Amino acid sequence: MATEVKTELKPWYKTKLPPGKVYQLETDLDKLWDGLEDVGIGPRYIGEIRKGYWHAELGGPKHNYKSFLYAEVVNDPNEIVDGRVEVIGPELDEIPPETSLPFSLHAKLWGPELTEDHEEFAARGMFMGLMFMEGVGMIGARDTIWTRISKEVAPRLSFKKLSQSIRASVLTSAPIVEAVEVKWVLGTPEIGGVKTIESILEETKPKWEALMAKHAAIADEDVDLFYGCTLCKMIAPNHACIITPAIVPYCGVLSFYTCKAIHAIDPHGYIFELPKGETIDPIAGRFTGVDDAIYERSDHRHKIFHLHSSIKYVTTN
Amino acid sequence: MEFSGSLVNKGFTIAVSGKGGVGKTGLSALLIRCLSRKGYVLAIDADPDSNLPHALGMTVRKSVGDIRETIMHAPARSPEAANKGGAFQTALHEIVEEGDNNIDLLVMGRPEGEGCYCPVNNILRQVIDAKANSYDFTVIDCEAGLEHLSRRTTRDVDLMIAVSDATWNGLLTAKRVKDLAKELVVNFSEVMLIANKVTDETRPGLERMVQENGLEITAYVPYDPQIALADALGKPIIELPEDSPASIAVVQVCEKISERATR
Repeated sequence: MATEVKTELKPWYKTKLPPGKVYQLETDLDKLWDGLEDVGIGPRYIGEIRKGYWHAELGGPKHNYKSFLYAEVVNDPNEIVDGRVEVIGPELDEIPPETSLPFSLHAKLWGPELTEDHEEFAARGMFMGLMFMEGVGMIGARDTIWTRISKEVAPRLSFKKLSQSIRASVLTSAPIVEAVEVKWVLGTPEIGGVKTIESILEETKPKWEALMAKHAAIADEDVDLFYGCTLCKMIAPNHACIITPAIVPYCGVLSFYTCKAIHAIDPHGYIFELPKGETIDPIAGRFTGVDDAIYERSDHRHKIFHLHSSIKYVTTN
Repeated sequence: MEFSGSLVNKGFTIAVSGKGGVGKTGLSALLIRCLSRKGYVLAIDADPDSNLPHALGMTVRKSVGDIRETIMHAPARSPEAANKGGAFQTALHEIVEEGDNNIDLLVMGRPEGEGCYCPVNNILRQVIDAKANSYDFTVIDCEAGLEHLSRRTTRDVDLMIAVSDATWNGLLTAKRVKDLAKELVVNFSEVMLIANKVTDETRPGLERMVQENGLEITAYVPYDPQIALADALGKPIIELPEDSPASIAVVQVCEKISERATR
């Protein structure tokens, strides 16, 4: 995996795009956040930006939701250059105030043990890197992304800095990732506006649709092991979510494959294995393994669970 | 426009109810204008026969009813269908009409074509829960009558304003709002009765009716010919001159509300 070469190793899209500004971020792991000191980063900055307060708006309903944000796992280390950032279109300070543009923000991730099952988990770092930034408001994900950058933070921010934050968050929160390359395309009229972004979207969308199809293809009957999540025990001490091929946890953030991947990374963490046991009722979704495990974890309060019912023996999923 | 700091009590909700034709929407618009100088205001038009956008001089592209339709018709097992609550919250972001002068507007709307208005009415509560805390004030312009009370869609608002005009019938409805609230054990922190379109001639009779029925009128808003003119010309009420009699009276109501909100 080359780090000195600045030109990209393999073109990302078939769509014709003009060359962009290329930056190389510092790859030294001890210097990940250097240069971001003048911008606040943290959960307290999660929020929305109101009309009149934003410098730039990217994506959203004005462009018919044709923009996208995507963190993609690649298998070939020779496909990406770690720390390379390309901005096709204007940088943040070149965008006139109160301009709304369609855009794409595509990150490619690689690690020797990183697989597509880790994609959802690793993508969280990308979201954190953006949402936690002072003055950046973000709603939605993938192709429903809608984001705004405030007037107050705009002089201190750039797409390069945002990329640095994304890369730093991903590498910090998911050390299984070792290389991150980021590409922005700002859909100005010169580049072709929404049409160009839509074209890139059509090329990229099949990748995550394939992943979603894979997740949808397995059923509860196909596995013997479910997973549970205890991340929210701090606010709900008698609660644990159950994740099976068919159901998602309360937060909706984890999928069955993601739990499998996270459990492999940290077997003693917040994801635990939940042997299915015997299937008592496949339609209501009652399994002996689930009953036993959650009985233990709910401080012996609840004994029977119907995973697919919202009327009888409901779970707190 | 910047405030030195937002109000202490974020999410103060006000519902405006009363008999048909007493001037709920007009009063709501003037109140919204007033409150928008003290903090950020979310205006919600909860009348399926929507008039608040026009009164505020704003146009709205989509209503809550529209997004409800979209979510209800989403294909089974699609992300929107699997997580209707989440899809609804996201869609709400899209339809809030961001206005100038710190006023945002949400229109509840109605179901498409034939059908009951119940479903859209019922999700008003969810809308308030989702949005009110992002604003200093939320003003809900209700439809005429008492239905929203029996449905409990306006339960637990901080302030219920019952508007009447200078008529016995109008007062009766306002009284019913108050009584029904008690009967249904609805937790308004307060009910304010406001008499609207009051003239020198009608005021004495009104005051007598009020006294005889053990009611208390918080404010008398005078009949304002400029409002009648604006209505006849189809002009937004929010553009009413500040020195017009109704504008002045509403400022006083606004001060009372602001004081309640920061208590």
